[in-house]
Amino acid sequence: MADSTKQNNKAKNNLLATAAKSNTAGILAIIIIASLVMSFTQKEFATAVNFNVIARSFSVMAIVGLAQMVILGMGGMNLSVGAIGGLVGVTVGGLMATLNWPISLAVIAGLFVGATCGCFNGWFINRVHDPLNRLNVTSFLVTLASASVFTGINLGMTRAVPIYGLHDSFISVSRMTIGGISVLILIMIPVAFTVAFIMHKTSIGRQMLAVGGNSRAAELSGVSISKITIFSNIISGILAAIAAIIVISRLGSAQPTVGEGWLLFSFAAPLIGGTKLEGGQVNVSGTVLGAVLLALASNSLVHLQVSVYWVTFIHGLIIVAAVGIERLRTISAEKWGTYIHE
Amino acid sequence: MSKNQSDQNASVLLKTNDISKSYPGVKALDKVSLSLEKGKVHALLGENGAGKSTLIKIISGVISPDEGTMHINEQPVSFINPRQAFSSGINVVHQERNVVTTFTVGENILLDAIAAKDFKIINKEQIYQDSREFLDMVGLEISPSRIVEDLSVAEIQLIEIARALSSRANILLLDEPTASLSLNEAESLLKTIRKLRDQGVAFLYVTHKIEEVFEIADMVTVLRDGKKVESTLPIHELDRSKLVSLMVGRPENVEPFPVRQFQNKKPALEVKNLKSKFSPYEDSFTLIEGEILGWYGLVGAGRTELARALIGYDPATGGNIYVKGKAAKIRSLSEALYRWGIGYLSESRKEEGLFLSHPITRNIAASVWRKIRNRIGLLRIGAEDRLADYYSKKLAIKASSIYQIINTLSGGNQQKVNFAKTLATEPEILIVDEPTVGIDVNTKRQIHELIWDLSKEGISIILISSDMPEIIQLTDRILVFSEGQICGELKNTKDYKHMSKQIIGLCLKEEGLTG
Repeated sequence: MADSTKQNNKAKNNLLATAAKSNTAGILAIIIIASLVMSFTQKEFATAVNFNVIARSFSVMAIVGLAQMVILGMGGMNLSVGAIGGLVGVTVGGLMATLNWPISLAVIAGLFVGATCGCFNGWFINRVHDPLNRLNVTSFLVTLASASVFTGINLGMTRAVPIYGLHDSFISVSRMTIGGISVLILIMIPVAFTVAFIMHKTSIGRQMLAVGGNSRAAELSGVSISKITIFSNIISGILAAIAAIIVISRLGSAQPTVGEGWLLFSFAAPLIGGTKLEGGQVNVSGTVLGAVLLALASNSLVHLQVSVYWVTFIHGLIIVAAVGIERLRTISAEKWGTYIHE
Repeated sequence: MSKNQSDQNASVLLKTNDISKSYPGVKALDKVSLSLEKGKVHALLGENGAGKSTLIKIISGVISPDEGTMHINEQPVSFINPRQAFSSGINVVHQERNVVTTFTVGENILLDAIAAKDFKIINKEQIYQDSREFLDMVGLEISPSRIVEDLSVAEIQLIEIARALSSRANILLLDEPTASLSLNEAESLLKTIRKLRDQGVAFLYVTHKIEEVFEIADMVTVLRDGKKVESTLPIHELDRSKLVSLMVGRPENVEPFPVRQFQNKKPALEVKNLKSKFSPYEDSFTLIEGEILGWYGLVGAGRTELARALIGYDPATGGNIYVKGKAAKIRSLSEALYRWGIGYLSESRKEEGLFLSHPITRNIAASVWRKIRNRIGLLRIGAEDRLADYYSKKLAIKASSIYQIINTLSGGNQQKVNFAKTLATEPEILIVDEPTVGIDVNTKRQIHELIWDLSKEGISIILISSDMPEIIQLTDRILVFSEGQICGELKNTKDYKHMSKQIIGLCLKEEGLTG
């Protein structure tokens, strides 16, 4: 009898495993169907202009999502992605417009600020982390606090006044298209590839996922949890910085409010895409597609002339659904997985 | 003689000398010496709290001993962390699983190698190829590229052993490796261990299963209350009944409680053919009002599982429960406690019983907040304190005040608070699971007296224990568990010699049937 239940469980396991794996395909299908429906019902939807509108917005969302995904993968969370973005935005803008730094130096400085913020997060998490607690609880609290710190520096420096007068060539980058495709996609794709390479192909990436999957097992195998915490937060900070630099280029000015709405999307994109909330498993292409889906939904709402005031509500629903689906997937996997008898 | 001596020493890979370790209020290990020899399996037996896991933790560098020394290849060693033990060739397969479930089999086996260098490109094909060698060593025929998540517990167990082997460990500590395995799975694991043993690996093998000891062990050490029971014995000097009597120990020199008669009393609880997911065999028994019913069995014999089915922790999948003659459907702990008056004291009081960082008052009140709150849901002023005062006196809890934090109490007093917490709900039936594990001998008697007094007040008690003297001194009737179900019922005459023989007989009869 025990054998038959086990087989049963295994069958269910396989089904779920397949479902989890086909996640990417599922999102792709939803995206295609939604796009087709929109194209047939809304005249302005299927135009090159609109395509690039969507592309610009999902490029940023995808990179923000990756910034969160990296941390989710190692079993933590980063509530300060938006705050890091804001601080990087005004730094780059300020260096360029006020101190007249060349673009390349300003961008490098921006990435450095992002990395430093991440490094601070990682260091602080290590300082206050009690191994008996889960890493995500500690990182939740630390990044909640540091988000306020970063935003505080941002507002203190700028007094909430946007910085105008960025170099024209910097602004024009985000408006460029190559073969009709927004250049932002061409920036996002190599970024995503690099993240995928780090997470799946390098030793440190595997160590990050090992910590997320089972920090005790990782530690017993000689993985340094504190080193991994710092490293993954630096990567997250750099990704947030890249996203922020793209946004100020798009806006043409460094708004201190850059990054304000990022937090929810940063969780939604990876969770829709099959990244596990409790760590150990990430999906880069899924995260990118999750961002596409979110951008598509926002854009469709505009075309369907849904009141702006209700857009937030619908975003909320999408995110609740994303988290719900992720939870369902995990819980059912646990329920039907082989249980360990006492 | 001296040549002989050195020959013998050459095969000793690891030796501990008089290792002792104390925790507040309890001596976990008391001068334990043992040696692990090349190509030998050394079985370590003992009940919960006997000190086995403490010994493993010391050997593997998780904790350091208070006294005593350790030698590897005759070189003195002292580890301050697991990494050092690891680089000395010691590897542990813990009882709980330590794999990264989202990784592949190969990556899990070679996790140490992945952790060794940070900025290195991982060649998965290479990893799969390299890990195959260790999969072969443990005799596991699965693809190294499979995700661990879908594997069975037995397969994961073997993967952990493969990982230990990948570090070229020559000393392997296995903590109850077959606890979660089926018979066939366990058999193939034992086969693997034999093979590795023949290749020269030294094993320390912790188990509760007597059958296994005779199948695999070359020598046997039994721990009881942190001390070695007799010396380490080679397997050919032991038989089943000798081993069981070593494990259950001799009676301490204390008076048993008097024999009582329950002829005209009504049953407090009747259970018919009860089973659950974790207690798959149907069990039936009756608990008489005011009696102490002992559930004896070695760890893993299915006692806790049945208790959990009874209190609705693992909801019953079949059978009937009657509380005072009324049919009871118990679906949750709170239903068991508040509707049917069945209280349960978990064997792990620190994890499942007490709020360690809270004062005595709040711990006792925790189970009766619904009783001591006023109409708008606030706790009545002083109610917690009055409760704590009452039970502190009644159970003679020794503390500086009722506001003392649980963590700072001794094990025995913690257990009393645990009792008080359940007693505050005024249960009619109390299930007490291993109440004296990790409690020193003197406080043990106090807990026994407490249980006895409660039964005299009319509370019907089920005492789950693998401590033979405790069962025989305290209970009125004994159910013996083996292999997941009740295998016999005995009326307790409190004559130690006679009773222990009968109990061991019942345990062994079952073992013999399956073995």
